[in-house]
Amino acid sequence: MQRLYTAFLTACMCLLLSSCVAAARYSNRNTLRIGWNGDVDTLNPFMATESQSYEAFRLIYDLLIGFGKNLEPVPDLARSWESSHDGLKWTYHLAHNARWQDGQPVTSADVKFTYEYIIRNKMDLFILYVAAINKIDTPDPYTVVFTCKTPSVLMEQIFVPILPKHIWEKVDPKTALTREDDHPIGSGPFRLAEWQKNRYMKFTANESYFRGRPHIDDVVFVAFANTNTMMQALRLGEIQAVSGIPPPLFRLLKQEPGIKTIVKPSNGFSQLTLNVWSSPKSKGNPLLRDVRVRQAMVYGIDKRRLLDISKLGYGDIGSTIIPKMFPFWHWEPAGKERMDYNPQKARQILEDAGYHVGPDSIRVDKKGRPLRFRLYARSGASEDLATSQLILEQLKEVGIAIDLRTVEKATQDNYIKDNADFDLAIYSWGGDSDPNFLLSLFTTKQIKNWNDYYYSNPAYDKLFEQQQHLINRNERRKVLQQMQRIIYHDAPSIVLYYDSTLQGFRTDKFAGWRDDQVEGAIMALGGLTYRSIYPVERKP
Amino acid sequence: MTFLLSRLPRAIFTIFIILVINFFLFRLMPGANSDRNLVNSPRFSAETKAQLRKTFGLDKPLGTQFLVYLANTARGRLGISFAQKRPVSDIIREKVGPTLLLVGTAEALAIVLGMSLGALAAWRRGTWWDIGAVGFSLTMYSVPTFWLGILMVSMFCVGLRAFPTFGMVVPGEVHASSWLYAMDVIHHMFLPVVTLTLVLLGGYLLIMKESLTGVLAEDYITTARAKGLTDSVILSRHALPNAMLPMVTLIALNLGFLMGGAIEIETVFSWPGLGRLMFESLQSRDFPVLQGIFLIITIMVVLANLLADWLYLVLDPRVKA
Repeated sequence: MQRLYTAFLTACMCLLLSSCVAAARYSNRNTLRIGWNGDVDTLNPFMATESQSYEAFRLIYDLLIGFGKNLEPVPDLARSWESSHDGLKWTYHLAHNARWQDGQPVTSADVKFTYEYIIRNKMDLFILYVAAINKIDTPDPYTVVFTCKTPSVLMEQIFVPILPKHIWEKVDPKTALTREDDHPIGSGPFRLAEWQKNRYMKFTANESYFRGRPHIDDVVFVAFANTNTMMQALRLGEIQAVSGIPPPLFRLLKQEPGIKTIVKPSNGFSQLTLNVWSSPKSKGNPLLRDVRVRQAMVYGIDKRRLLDISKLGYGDIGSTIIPKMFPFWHWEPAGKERMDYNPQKARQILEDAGYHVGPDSIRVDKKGRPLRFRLYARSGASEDLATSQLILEQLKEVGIAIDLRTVEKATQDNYIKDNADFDLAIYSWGGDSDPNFLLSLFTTKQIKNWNDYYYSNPAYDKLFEQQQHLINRNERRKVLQQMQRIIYHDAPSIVLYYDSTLQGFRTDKFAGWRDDQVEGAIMALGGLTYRSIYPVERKP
Repeated sequence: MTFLLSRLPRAIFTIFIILVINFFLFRLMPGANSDRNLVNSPRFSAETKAQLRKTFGLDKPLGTQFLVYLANTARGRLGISFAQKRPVSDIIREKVGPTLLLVGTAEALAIVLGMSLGALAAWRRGTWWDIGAVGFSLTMYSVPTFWLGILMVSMFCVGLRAFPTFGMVVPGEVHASSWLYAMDVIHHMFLPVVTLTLVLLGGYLLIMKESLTGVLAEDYITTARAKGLTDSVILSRHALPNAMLPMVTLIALNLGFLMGGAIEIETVFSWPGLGRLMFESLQSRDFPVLQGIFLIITIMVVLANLLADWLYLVLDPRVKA
């Protein structure tokens, strides 16, 4: 017994000692490591929804037409393209030297196959992009011709990874959605080398990439369970870049030598969701169906203060449902229409509407029902929680009581989407490269799906249908402004602020970061950084 | 053999009951029956969602689903994960190794250190040794695990730059030999293991001390002293074996929970273990994975209990099965 014990202790000591001298020995490959919170959901292109998956797709696959730094169309697999005057016929000329990562050439047949596979099997993720396509012709191996039913502006903004026909034609469409795609073959600059799920994903440079081999050997995405640890890893140089940094940690990072920090606008917004459903099925407080109460809340909330405290000032004060990141589409209310923080005015509106101060200084309507609302915030979303607390205090000043309830995300979804059993909720929406998705959130069709407000307005629905078919940007813009005005006035959603994307990346080992991309150096649709980045000592 | 025969039916019954609870408990969670658990994006149409429900057998009535679940489990099939859309057994298998490595090492260290320090504290009761050991372990026992982990990271990783902050190996690194790989793993697991050991230590130390203190007050120890036996003989032959009984129970029970991982440690150090998997699956309402993990934990706990009962029989002749 005693001998066993001594042996055990000795073994432990040996291990401890050896681990202390075991300095990490890095191989001499140029490996770019990028950290993110959470992980890729799947690499099956027909099922993946996480932004992390799309970052991986930018390495593995090519698009027909890529995205530039300002999301403008740039050549990718198609070296050039042209459209007929009526916008119905689109001709793409493919690069001649593109190859799949298994050695086969990329031809027009692959493009035709990919698009037809989506159309024929109604692949939800991409069907919107390709809905206008009627016919696909391949006059030669390097030319593809799309004929559309209606003129479409989306033809240059399609995020559809081109898939290899010789692999996917063997996949039964019925099983395509649940297929494990752990060994994807694309034509992109990197190929997947190793995937330890929920740990890391390793890519190596595609030696025969048609636009030239990347300047680095490997890209590794590391999945972290904890933001604090991830930031320490960045500061210590264990990883090279991070996106989506919480503001307090971002501020600390700014003083760190060798790290560049950038602030970019995001394509979504943080907001207060108001349950305005008038159906008997709604379990929300009916007083929220009164637009005057909702407008009083808008006047009663000091958005500047929320932004300064919860986000440390990073971001823009919110107004309408199209973020300022889309300067062409965004409409900023001005003059009389504008509802800026004004608690006096908030009290006045409520007073005029017949809500007088009752017991506990909470306002009540004529029947004595108090303006008391449940606000559901997500546990773990510390910025949302800070904002909720401030809103609680601010609305108290105008006589509205808030019961703050902290729940996890799935429970919040359950209250909102399954039961309509809430009054208020706080969270943010992420958008697309087009405002269409954010606008769709307020349509009647989306009730019981993504319209968390249960807002229904036939005039708004009509405008939504109308804007989808407008090719002329200026005409569409007018309609979009009208739609933003309606929601701003009706306030089923109070847009609190447009969040910023905060990124940090190390410049001591790698150069060539494309932080001029509108979304940032990483997590950008164009994925330009991965092709331009190089080790500082080996300038190309 | 008779022991095993007498206990086995009850053990199997326990596992079955947990199996049943496992199935219904998770389905009572808010948002449990939503399509969102299968796919959560506004782009997916109602038809696609219906198709997915069918693929996962969620279109059938709950009773049928339950029977299918029982039949599959009996055949060793744990189902397909909602979130990752691949077999639960694969997902769990990837995490078992790292968890056993981390929690197992820490448990072993905590047991050995806790027992030694506890015995020392009892033997030298009232001295600075006692006060120091008990004070230290109680402090570590009460400190929040998460906080201790972050403290370790900022001291040893950021301050001294002695250890890596996350993971089990340098991600994506190709190791020249398995020796280098092992060194890399040890380098990564050092801090999480130390942190977890410190947290676990207190429990063992206190039980050991209490138990041994009680034994040392017994008449037969006085007799042994009167016989002129040396201290070390009294401790190792007469006191310790008798003081071991409560320790055996504690160790056996804790072994059962080995597979549960250590959620907080795994989160702080981004360690790829079962605890984190369990937490993530809970958040995404991934029942097949949760059921799989709970089933394994259940079996481990039941087995550990059987082991404890059996050890009691061996160690203490007064206990009769």
